Amino acid sequence: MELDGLKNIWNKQTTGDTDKISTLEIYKMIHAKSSTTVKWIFIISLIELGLGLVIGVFSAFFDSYHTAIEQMKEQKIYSYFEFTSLIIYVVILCFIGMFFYQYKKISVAANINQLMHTIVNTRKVVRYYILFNLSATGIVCATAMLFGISKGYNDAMIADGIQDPHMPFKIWIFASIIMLVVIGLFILILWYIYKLIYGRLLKKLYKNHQELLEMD
Amino acid sequence: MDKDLEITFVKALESNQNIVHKICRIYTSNSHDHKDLFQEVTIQLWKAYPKFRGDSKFSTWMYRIALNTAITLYRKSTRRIKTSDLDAIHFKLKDEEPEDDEHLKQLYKAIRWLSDIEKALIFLYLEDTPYKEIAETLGISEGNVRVKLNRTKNKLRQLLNP
Repeated sequence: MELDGLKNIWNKQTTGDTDKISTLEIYKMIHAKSSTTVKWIFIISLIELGLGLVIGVFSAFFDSYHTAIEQMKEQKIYSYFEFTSLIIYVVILCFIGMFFYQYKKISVAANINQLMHTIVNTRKVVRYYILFNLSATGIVCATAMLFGISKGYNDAMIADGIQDPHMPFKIWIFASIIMLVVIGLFILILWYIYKLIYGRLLKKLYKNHQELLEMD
Repeated sequence: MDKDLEITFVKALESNQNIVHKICRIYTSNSHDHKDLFQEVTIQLWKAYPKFRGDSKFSTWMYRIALNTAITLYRKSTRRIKTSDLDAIHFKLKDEEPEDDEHLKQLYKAIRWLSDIEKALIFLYLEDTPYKEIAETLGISEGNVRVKLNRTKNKLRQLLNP
């Protein structure tokens, strides 16, 4: 076989139907930025979990942590604390798994519809993730504060010589309102932080989705 | 980036996609990698497109970006295996002659045994690219192109006629 002869055959090549990439596919390729965004969502959620674990381990070095554990054991709510923590970590791990699954799915999306579908799903999962984190924080904080208030009141009463004290209803209501305001503010701050971190990524996904919708 | 630029780019790439497919056939050995490299080349072309001033033909400009992507970016991300599986090579010839078809498959098979730079040299030679342009595309001197191309052609001849 001579190279010059092969050159002629080489130049007879056209794009076969198997390979041919349509205009729509090219558009998809240059607009498929979402996989990077989903990858970042996955990474950030991992960092968040890692940070939570580090704070958990770090707090074990403080005496106040051990005192709190002892008090929880005394009040027989330590098992509740352990169970809640376990549930929260399992659910967070499930969310992280879902982010990874969406990332894998978006990377191999074969057409615009699949890509858009994955973007919509990812946005939904992120929203549920944020909602879960905020609700879990609210529930854990409320329980901890109720426990703290009740324990504080009882300790104060016992110190004053009152045996087997019961917190009056009015104080309960007042404490609950204060508690709701404090937790509400805390969740608002947390929501704002989530909005800063994930909001930008969600906006990017939305923009990409709109671009894809226009060309579909 | 504005819509007009996007439309011009997509149209130009669609009509010149044959070039990218040929490069993908040379540098990859299965359809999955082929698609992967095609997408990578498309992204790199799109990124570089705002700087394309039309001094050269779109196809000439494509050679440089596409080959550069295949040689540098793609090589970094994957470990490709040289294959002798001729069925994995898909192409279409203008005048379908079974003999031509077989010859082209043998040519692809032989090219896949060359180094990444040699593949680029042979590709540009087969595309009838002038020496000056090959030199500019690969960033080597014209004299160097002549020497290297002759060596690569000899190597390819040996691979084709063992």
